[in-house]
Amino acid sequence: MMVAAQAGDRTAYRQLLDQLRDWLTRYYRRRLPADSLDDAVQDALVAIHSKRHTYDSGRPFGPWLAAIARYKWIDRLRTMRARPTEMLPEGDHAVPDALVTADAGSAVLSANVLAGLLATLRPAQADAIRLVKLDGLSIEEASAASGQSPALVKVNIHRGLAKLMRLVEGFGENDEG
Amino acid sequence: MTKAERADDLVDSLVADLAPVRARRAWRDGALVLGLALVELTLVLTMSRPRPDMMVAMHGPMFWWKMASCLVLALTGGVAAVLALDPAGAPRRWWTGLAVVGAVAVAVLLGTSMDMPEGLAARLDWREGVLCAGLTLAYALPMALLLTWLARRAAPTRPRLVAWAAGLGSAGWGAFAFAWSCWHDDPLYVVIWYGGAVLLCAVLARVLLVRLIRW
Repeated sequence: MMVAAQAGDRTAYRQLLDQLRDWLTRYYRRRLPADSLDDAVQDALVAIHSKRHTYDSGRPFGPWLAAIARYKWIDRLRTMRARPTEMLPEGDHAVPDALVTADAGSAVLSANVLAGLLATLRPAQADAIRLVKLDGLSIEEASAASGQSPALVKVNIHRGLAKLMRLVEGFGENDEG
Repeated sequence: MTKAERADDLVDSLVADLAPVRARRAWRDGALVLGLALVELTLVLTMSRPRPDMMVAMHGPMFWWKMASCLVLALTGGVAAVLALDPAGAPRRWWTGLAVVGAVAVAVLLGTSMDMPEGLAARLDWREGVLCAGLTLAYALPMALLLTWLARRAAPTRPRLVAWAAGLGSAGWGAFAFAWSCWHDDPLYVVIWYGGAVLLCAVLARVLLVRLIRW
């Protein structure tokens, strides 16, 4: 099924994700507190999705899946130890530098520009960015406010910021051209 | 919205986002690394000035020890780094091999250096040494960048191992490429300046790369 998913077969991919969700739930149930279980499963599903190209069809699927599940488990343990209240890591989820302004005047302008840019995103992505990056809510609070799962909030922030970055970079290139 | 509905929501989102991907193959990454290594070596050999005493040096054992140590370090580190990019890979044996090779090379070079009669300051020649170390690092940069790019595309489940291996491998290759134009064969000089550059590159990779390749 993963080979079919790598080729873009959505039916096979949905079946695979449903099976993986069950397997991951059993895997993390033995290793994590109950209140972390759903987030861990969803984080792992997102990781499997984003790293699906790293599966080599010539090798067994089980060890690949187990390695990713274990990596995300260790990652979650580290996060639980280091950050009692979960915060977004820097890097992929950071607000693009191009959207950060240095003074009050440009901040007003940037707020208007940002509102326009957010309008170009899907509503779920715009909500996630607005709640976490502009209103300062935690992932959990944003999840409760928006009705999206914490993992989905992260996915939407990641994709939304990536799209904004592409838009902003596109504007820059057009200005130079 | 219940937890089950949220999970369904996520699965829907991931399925909707599905696009065909090209599966990663370790041999393809290895070919890229080898290709860059050959291109860099070709450029170095054709564009830089070779050491003036090359023919004489090639008759001495220290020249070959220097080249062989750098090459073995580069090969072992590079192979270990590429293998470690596989989430389910088993690169521990390469890591062990890398440690053994490094230890043997340093031990042999240090042992040979005991016979040298000259003074320490003259042997170390720090002005040239700093230049050699700097150029070794500069020559290591292309391979380090390629390995970083490959690691970010892959799913390494042992980021620290990848970082050490990539640092040592790229530094080993940088030293090997640079050594063709460096006329210093004194083992103490090689251990201090080449070894220092390799160590610095490995530590930098350990500090910087781990942050870049976590996923």
